[in-house]
Amino acid sequence: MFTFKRQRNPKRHFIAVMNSSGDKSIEWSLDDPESVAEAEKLFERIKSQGGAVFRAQPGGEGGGRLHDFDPREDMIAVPRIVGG
Amino acid sequence: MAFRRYQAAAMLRAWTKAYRLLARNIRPTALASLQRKGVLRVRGGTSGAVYEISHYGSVGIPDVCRLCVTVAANVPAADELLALALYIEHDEPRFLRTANCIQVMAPRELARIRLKCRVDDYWEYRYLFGELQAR
Repeated sequence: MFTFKRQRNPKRHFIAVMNSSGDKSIEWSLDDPESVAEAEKLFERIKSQGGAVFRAQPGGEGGGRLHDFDPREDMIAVPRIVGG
Repeated sequence: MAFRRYQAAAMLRAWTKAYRLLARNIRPTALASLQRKGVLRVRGGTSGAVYEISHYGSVGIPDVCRLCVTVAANVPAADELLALALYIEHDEPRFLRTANCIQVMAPRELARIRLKCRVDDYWEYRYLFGELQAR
């Protein structure tokens, strides 16, 4: 049986921002400083709204919270949490 | 009628997207327990305590305490599960502070949590979480 794995460009990274439609994914390329700057702006906006950004962890391995923007990481942005 | 169908389709798309993100970013064993029992089991990054998050977002350390915490945005249930799991795994102290369970948490303080969140304190904690006022 064949299994197909989507080939990812190692120079392209993403941040998946959770929202009511599931998530919105913003991608950037390390070769394109403009897209990196846009992603960094988004990162800062999420943090200023009280959200948190975590390293995307395929298979649940090697994750962690990111306090500073690192364009070489894939990320998941999580909204603020509140006590119920 | 058409609008309702459109809404239902949009909800289904959101749910599918959220579930895919969740499935990609949690351990296979956690995903299996979620599919089998409707409970996502996550280990706290600081204390090592096992948390159970049920499919409707209720969080607790089994037989120790129940925590009341939610995501402050309208996101599909799978996103909420993933958000809480990420906080528990990678920023447990902040998670617990937000959940009103304990103010400060150090690696060796799991015993203190157990002491503070005994099952007999259940009603007190419900009160703290504002659940009694809501009734």
